[in-house]
Amino acid sequence: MMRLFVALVMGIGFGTFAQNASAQIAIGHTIERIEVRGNEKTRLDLILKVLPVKQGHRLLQNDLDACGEVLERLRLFKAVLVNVKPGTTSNDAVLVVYVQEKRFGGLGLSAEYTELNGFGISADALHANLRGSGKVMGAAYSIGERFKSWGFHYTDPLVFGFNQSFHIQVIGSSADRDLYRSSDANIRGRYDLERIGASVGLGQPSPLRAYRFIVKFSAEAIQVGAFRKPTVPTNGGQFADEIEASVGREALSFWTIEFHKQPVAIWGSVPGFDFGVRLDISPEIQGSVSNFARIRSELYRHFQVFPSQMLSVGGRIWGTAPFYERFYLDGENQLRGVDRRDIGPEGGTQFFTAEAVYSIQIRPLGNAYGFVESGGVRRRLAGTKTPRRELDFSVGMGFLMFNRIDISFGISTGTVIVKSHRFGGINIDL
Amino acid sequence: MQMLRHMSLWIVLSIGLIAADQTALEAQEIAARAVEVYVQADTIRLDIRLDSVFTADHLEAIESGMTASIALQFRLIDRQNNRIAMLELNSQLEHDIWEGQYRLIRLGVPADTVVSNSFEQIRLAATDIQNIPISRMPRIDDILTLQARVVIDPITPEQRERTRRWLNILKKGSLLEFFFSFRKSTPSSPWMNLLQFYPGALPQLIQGESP
Repeated sequence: MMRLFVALVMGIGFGTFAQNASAQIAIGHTIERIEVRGNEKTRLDLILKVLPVKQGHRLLQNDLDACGEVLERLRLFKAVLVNVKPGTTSNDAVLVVYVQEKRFGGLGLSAEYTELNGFGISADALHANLRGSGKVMGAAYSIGERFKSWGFHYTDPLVFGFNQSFHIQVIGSSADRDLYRSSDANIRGRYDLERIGASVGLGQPSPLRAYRFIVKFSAEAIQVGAFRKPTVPTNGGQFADEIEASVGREALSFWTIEFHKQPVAIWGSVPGFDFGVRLDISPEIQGSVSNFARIRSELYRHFQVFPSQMLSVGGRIWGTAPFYERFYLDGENQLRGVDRRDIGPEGGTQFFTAEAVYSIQIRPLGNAYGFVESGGVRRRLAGTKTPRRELDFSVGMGFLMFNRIDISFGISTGTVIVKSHRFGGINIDL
Repeated sequence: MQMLRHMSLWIVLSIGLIAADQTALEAQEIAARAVEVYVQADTIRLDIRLDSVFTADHLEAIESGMTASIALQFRLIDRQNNRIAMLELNSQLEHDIWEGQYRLIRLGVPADTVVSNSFEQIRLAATDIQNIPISRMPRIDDILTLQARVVIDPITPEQRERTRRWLNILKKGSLLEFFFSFRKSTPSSPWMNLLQFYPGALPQLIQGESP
């Protein structure tokens, strides 16, 4: 009777009748066995392997939440519930895991726009949970004004039955790139950059799968072509000469070490922090075009009390990286209020961006926000002692619609930037 | 043109990739017994007991402690399939698996709660419907059909929202997020014909009398 009373009080207190009450009461009990229900397709051993508790484990506070989070992070299930019921003796408990599976994966088709690549159409498909083993296989294809790409990927979350993940990716792309920013095609110059390559990686998740450590090897064939020299060269034409010298095909290969926090929600939508750091090492000894090491880090924090977020991204290159591997303030580093390639059009071996965004939710459309940001690149030019630094900042406002279309206006710079690129399309979960 | 050809080929390949593992969705069919329709104070009322309401999947979820929402839907249609009346009875079934206790919360007016350690008792409470008003007596005495269906969702809106948080991960630059999204929900069960009747031929009950 007393247990029933405690269960009722706790159920009312926490708003959920069953699970929280059971979880509290079951703390200290030993797991007699683990019952998995609802998994029509997903293999039992996959679920048992990723759970942070095993048979014989003594249940601790938060164990049930941890089990639930680990299963949700697999992204194979629509619903997860981890619960406990009494075991055969008063000291034992049975851990009950219920999952409702996603069926297969998804298909998508969408129109998009980026400042770097212009308008385009993208399609992708993925098959989640192949043969119930959690393996994911997918493909993506994009074609647009200035960029075309295709790719296939395969991930096994528990390769060889261990907790490590295995990733294979094959990608190809073709991009039309400018050297400088100008409305006159002759002044800005151009070149084509084509890449085809593959990567193989092994990942080690933290026990609760919140963090992941990845070691990856990538090899690419790079082709630079269709070069047109800009008519108004800067810095003595060094950048144009560098590209002209690269015309043709060359090989690039990396070893990558990456550590990041697994994202848990739409970027910036929930309080918390995200971070990632990645080190690429390109040694000539394995056939790469040049010796260099490159590090890129990202740190982001979202505050709920004041609906604001801060993001800082930075990187540094040691050695001589080919021009297409330097840091540019466009693409994934695009600023909100400064046009692409206004800062450091020739790329840098060091860069940073930092922004603070204060947003107000306007349901159901999205968020209006104000921002302050700054970005800069730095590079040492041949024949000079002092490095060339370029830096700018902007203050502005913007609107994020449907978590997809992010249009911002730099008040201080008078520039409109479209930062997120999905304009419309369909996504079908199968 | 070439772009369209590429995209078409792409879509066909993608569908092939995903359809390889497809299994059929099961529509839920219910059975009814002891169906009584009668008129009381100018209102058509219903007594019914529904069987086979819970599928094996529902029972798995409930036995794991998932909170299920249950919607029993009834409608009256005429010969031309025009809807004359519609009624939905909603309840929530919770299961405290530590205590082995079920709790059925009827969400209508008046709301009430049934607590029991026996699932059979709870199943009866959820599916044995007595003296429910369906509609006022229609003015035209044409033949009407009473239909029913059951929609059971073993996932609460809170749990669904929580999981959506994980599934909708938007990495910056991710190719897997789109503006519009269509997600298949649980298949809706078909409407089942319970009874055909002339309203004028229904038995009349006086106030306070039980059927």
